[in-house]
Amino acid sequence: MLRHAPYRRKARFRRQVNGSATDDQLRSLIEVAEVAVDARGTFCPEPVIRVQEAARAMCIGQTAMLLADDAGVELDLPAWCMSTGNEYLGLVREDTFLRVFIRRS
Amino acid sequence: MSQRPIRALGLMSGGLDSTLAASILQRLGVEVLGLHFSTGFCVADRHRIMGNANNRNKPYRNDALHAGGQLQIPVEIIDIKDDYLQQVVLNPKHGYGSGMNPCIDCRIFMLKRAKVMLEEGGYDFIFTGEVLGQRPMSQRRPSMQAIEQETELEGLLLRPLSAKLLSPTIAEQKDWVRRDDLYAISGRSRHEQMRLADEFGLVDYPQPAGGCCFLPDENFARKLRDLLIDRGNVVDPDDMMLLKVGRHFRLGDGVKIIVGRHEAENDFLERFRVGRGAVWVEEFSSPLTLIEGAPSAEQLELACKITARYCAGRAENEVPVHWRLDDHAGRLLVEPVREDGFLDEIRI
Repeated sequence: MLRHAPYRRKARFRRQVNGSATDDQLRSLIEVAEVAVDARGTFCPEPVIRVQEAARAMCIGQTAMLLADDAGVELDLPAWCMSTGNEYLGLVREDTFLRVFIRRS
Repeated sequence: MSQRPIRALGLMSGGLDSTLAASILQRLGVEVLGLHFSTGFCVADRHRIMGNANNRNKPYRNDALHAGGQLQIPVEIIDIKDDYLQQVVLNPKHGYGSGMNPCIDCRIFMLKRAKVMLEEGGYDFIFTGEVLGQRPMSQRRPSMQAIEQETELEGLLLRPLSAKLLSPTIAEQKDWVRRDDLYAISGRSRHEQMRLADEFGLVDYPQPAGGCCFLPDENFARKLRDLLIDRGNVVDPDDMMLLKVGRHFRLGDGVKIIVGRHEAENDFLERFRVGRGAVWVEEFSSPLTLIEGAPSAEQLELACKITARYCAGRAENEVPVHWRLDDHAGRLLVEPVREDGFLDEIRI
């Protein structure tokens, strides 16, 4: 039998897009994130592929910071986290690139 | 003792059909992993690179990841650009479709990759969002059967949307999924899929039948054919990226130019300047033109005239155009090309 419980998904997805950390928490993570992934100069989906690779080697609870200048990561990383069960912490906008933070769950 | 869950691998483009296929299996209790193969020919990738022309602050998303996010199923992105170009696009065993689209070889290539993951990861079967009769090349019954045979996936490949019209697979025979819970959709219409999407609460999906690959596109295919003839089939993924943007003009054997059509394309072309010549106008709003190959003095002048033709100063008698080739740079005062007929002749 088919089960029906779809509408919850979209609301949870929206919440996830906003990230779970505050701006101050994200700023403090810049120095302490365990893993840094530099994907500047690459196009989507390369930044996500690099995060995917890095996440395989990370321990649960570790934080990764992605540096990217492809604006698509703003939507793709929350979606990737939602799909894989990792935690999307949020992003910090620098002048020419984005810092996106995730936590391995 | 609890039973091990049934696990399936699915090819997920992020379009409506593959999202529905994943959703159907998920609802039947199957643990699903989506595989999204990045071929380098995805139309959506190009949109994302260019950004949203109407709103640069609103980027495009990766539909496969978005579908995975909505359904909360993991989606793995797999970069196959290099092998795909060499093994599928340049040397298709089953030939091309209307453009340069080797759809049957493409399916076979992806399914073979998925089969390796199936065996290594201990998955039970593979699924796709294919619909019988939806595509003229790879989704006809004989092609679908040939693909299964060539990939040695007979019985292991479930197409939930058309399953009732196809032979039962191992997943149905072993009652991992009930055939009655699958569908009998066929043909090009997407009405049934849209009805199902409504029923499943999938409200945010890409335009059905939007076409997700550059290779069947007539304009892209023409540029690709030109490049393959000019280079004797020696091309790389960067060349493929550049085929997706700008106006392309062939100035001679081994020499062509790519003229940006708007700011986003200029920004994109800017990233490919290394190893290529460049032409631009500083005095007016102007395209960035990239030169591929080693142009003669006449060809360089023509590149400048064409660039002037597409800059904001095109009505002027003469336009100062800047150029750079390797370590050499200069400025030429040229009359913009006026004759559209001439441009049509050299346009690829």
